[in-house]
Amino acid sequence: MGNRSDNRIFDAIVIGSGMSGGWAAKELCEKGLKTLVLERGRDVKHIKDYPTTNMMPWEFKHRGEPPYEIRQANPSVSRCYAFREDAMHFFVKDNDHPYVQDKPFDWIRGYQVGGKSIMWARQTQRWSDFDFEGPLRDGFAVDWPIRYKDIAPWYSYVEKFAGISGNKDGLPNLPDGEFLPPMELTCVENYFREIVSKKYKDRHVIYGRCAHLTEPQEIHLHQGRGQCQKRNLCQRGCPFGGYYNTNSTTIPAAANTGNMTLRTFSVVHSVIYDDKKGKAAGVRVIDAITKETVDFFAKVIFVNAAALNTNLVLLNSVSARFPNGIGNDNGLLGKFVAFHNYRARMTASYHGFKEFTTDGRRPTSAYMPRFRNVFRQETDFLRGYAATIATGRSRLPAGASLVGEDLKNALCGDQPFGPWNIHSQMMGETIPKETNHVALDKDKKDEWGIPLLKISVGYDENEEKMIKDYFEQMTEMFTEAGFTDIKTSDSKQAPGLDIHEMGGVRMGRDPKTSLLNEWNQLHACKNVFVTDGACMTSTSTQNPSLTYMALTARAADYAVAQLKKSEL
Amino acid sequence: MNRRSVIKCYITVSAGIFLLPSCLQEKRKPSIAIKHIDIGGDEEDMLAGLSEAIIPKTSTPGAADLSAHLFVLTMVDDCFDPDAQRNFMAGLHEFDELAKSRYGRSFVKCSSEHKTTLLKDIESRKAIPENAAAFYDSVKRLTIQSFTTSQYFLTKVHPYELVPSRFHGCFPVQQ
Repeated sequence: MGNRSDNRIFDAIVIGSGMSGGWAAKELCEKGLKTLVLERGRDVKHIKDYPTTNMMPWEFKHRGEPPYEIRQANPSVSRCYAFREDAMHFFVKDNDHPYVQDKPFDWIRGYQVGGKSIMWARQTQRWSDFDFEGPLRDGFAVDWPIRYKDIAPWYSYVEKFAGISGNKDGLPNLPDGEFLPPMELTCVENYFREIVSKKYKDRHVIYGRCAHLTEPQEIHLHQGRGQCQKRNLCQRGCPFGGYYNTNSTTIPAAANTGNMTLRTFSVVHSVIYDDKKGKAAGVRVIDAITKETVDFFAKVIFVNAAALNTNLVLLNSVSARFPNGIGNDNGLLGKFVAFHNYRARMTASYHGFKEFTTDGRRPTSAYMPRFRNVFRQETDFLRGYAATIATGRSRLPAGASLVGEDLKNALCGDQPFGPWNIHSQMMGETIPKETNHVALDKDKKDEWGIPLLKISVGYDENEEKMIKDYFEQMTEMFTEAGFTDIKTSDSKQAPGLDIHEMGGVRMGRDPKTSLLNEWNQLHACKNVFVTDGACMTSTSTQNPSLTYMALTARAADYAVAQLKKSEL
Repeated sequence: MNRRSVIKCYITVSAGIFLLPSCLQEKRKPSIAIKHIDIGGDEEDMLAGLSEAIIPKTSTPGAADLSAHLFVLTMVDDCFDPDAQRNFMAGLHEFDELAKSRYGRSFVKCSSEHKTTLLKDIESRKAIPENAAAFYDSVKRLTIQSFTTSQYFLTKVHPYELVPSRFHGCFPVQQ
């Protein structure tokens, strides 16, 4: 760890230690490869480096609110819901790592061991063939080179290790997985579920599957993790290991093999291409602190720098063979970037179930899988959206027009409960387009001499139509359920804030129209694998991390098999 | 006058005696380090008085016992944007002017009856200048926040659970 030994030659190099890099590290190390894991930021050790994890509300100077100077200096990351006093140390400040916004894009990053897996929202829904077959059926992007059957066993493999809480719902468009028991839905969520399934045969309100150990198994206890304690303070890092992050799982597993060398403060400059051998030779690193350039060599390279940074690394990997970035023979590297449309939200009230409330806390919510355009095209927009549904009651605010002892008594007493509050957020698929792209800025460089990433990603008409449909459909369903005070809101937030940016190095069958093959290998440089969000051909509506994990484990298995056959 | 302003005075004295009055007139500093807003000890006292009037000490601690006004100051100084800070300070002075015009003395020197009457009038928005009302709303909101997120409140009144270890989705309301 933090090893500065002279060894520069490894079997494998993994660029990045986040959600997918952690899996690459674990799988490659467990299969016996001497693996160098490069992380551009600092180390974050499970528990030890979660400084705020046990802090009480009054211990935060501003009770969580980021001070104005920080918000003003870092407007993009400040718009992130989790960028608060308890977790802001895990987020990259805009100011420290600038980028160029051709169009507004809030790029949310985590430069540390574990990456954004420390602060993620932990939702883990599988894809189905309705997702993998989407581009082919609807005529956008390119056909995915894999189908559900190719990834299903790998979903199971990563789910068992990570620990996924879920309910077997038996839905064709959201396949069941290897589930630990679900947490409870609320009375209102169960009621809404009944109303919706009665009126619409293809719409389902289910429990949002999430990476929480509701009932840890041997495999989790062995990792040193325990049961989720429903703290719902996950973004701080969990002292119980109750949710899945890389720091408590894959990185220690990789370290335990004795095969991993983790090198922190290692900014990757580029992948080195060997023209004579016709494959990648290694990775050029710039030490984040000394700025010294160091080359490392390996037979196989996994690029897991997080979607857009993976694009940056590949674009910056130029050679005589690849003047426009490694693997980029067709000029499509950095193009067809997509994301999830999180702009639309709804709220409502419900005056039933007055004799009930919730007790304790729940780190997930109810979920509606995509119901639009699943079995056939039925609207004037392509694809669809999933939605979260969260409900609860709060006590009426004390204090309206009260002051003095009256106010104090109201605050200290038990205020009556208000009605149930219902919150929903849309998670919409966006259609990858060539014009939505990232590129290297021609002039501006960062302090390590690496070109800044220029991001040009925006919404289009399809997304506007989808927002309108979500508002209409949810309003109809809420009305059917007797919810009142139904309100819609469009945050108009820039892309990026969804933290689900994907693509730029898409998978496909044809080297002319894609960068990666069905095993996540660069078509034109087979010993380079890309298995983070950059590889995504389309986005569907599911939170993507689980799919990155499964693709990574699958690709690592293939890479090792190929190495053994001397095919790489 | 703290050590730094004394030193500043010496420097000023050595620079030219005619600058001396500006030092002597320097107002009393607030009791905590303040970076952005121009607030003095007297104004801090007024905030403390107002917070305490909003949540008074009874048989249990009130705003002053929990230094709620220092939280108010900290939030205004660190988290408000410059416009909001200007409005807050303008409102603070308007608020005190209001007390003076009504009762002939600044708010801190008013009797508790007068304080209560003034606050109730503000709550019902009876001919209250806009800035003063907005200032009062900010102080009230932050005082309530300070009180209800204090260690006292979250351990003795409505205990906060760091580790609930449970979630029930349909739990009987306890009256």
